[in-house]
Amino acid sequence: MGGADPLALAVRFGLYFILGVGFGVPLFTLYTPHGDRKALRPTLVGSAIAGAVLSIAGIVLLAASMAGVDVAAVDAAAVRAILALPGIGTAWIIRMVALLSLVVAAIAIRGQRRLAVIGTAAAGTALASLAWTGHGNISGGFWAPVHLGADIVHLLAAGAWLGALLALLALVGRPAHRVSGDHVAQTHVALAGFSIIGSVICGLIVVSGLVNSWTVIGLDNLGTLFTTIYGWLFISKLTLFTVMLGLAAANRFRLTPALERAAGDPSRQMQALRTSLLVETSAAILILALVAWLGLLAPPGSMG
Amino acid sequence: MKTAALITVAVAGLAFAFSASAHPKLLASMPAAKSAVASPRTLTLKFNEKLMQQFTGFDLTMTSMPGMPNKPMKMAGFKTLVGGDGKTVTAQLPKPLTTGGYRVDWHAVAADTHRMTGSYTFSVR
Repeated sequence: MGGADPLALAVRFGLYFILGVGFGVPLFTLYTPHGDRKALRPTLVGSAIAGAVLSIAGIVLLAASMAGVDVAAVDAAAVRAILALPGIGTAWIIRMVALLSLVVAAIAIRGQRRLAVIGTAAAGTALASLAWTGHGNISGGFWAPVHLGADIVHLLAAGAWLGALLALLALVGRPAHRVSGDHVAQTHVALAGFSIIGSVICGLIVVSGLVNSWTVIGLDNLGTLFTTIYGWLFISKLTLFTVMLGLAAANRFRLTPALERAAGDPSRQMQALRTSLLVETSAAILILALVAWLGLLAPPGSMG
Repeated sequence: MKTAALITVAVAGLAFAFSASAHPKLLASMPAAKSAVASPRTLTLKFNEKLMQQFTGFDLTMTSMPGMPNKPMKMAGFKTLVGGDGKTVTAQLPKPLTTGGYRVDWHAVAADTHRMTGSYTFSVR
């Protein structure tokens, strides 16, 4: 069952990444006062357009796999049949409407803060709609809304973390000759501000992740984790998440205070933060790739 | 974070469609798998899930004929339809099947969007 379609995998990964960034970056500017918001507008437009293109590619690929035909042979009737499905079809339409409003907002809204609020809401809606494309709608009856809700929280929290990592990387990644005392102070404020919000995000990810693994995998199937590809991918994901938690803790409790204490030339402290954030971001991106893959495989809880 | 919480609540409120479904499974068929029947004109396949007409159907192949070399022949001239309950697939053949062996290759997609396939054989006396 490891033979997931690489194209479908790439599209899913792209959607998680693009929409996660589209939600996490404007959200970051909202909880980071006096931050640099120059990148906000291009980020929102870019993720809206890329998100829409990937969503179209995604539905065509899905129609091809459902009809058992080549991508080129997909017809409009097949796509319409998917759009008419109450869960996945409606979620797709809502995502497209949200992405379109994101572009309109980025063009029409002047105020940066206002744009960040609207952008966070629109991109958050698009990101949340991805809950219907994986195993978010796998459980039936009473647990269905719980599972979907947990999936949405998981997606939004992960997007918030990813967006923050990229925004922080942009701060610490500035070339040394362009780093002023002001910039160091601003970087420290952003890092310190994120340390509290980051803990909330981690908490949300852990709790919603536990709910999801309970419904998708199930306690009875924990043993199968070591015997299936799904299981090994899942274990790799948890390992990478643990690495991220370790690095986040190091940033919060060691590297960020060290930056504040740095007297004179803070380039060594900035370098340490840069390395740590770069590894953390790489782990986050790898996790998204694993999630994209996992969603295409049959989870242990669905067997039998 | 307040904004994020608000969005979470708003989006969770939109979680309207909880129609979860599993992979479609073939429960029974007429003629039944591995059965020997008198020349049927209607084929019926019964599944456990509501199916999507667009992506569901089957092919019928004649695999053997008495006194003829064993060359499979695909049967044409019929349409497969998903019935009123959404779980039954039927085909009305242009004329009753003649004596020989037959194979049904079905494909079915339910709301979970996974294409499932399977096949079974029967023979006509």
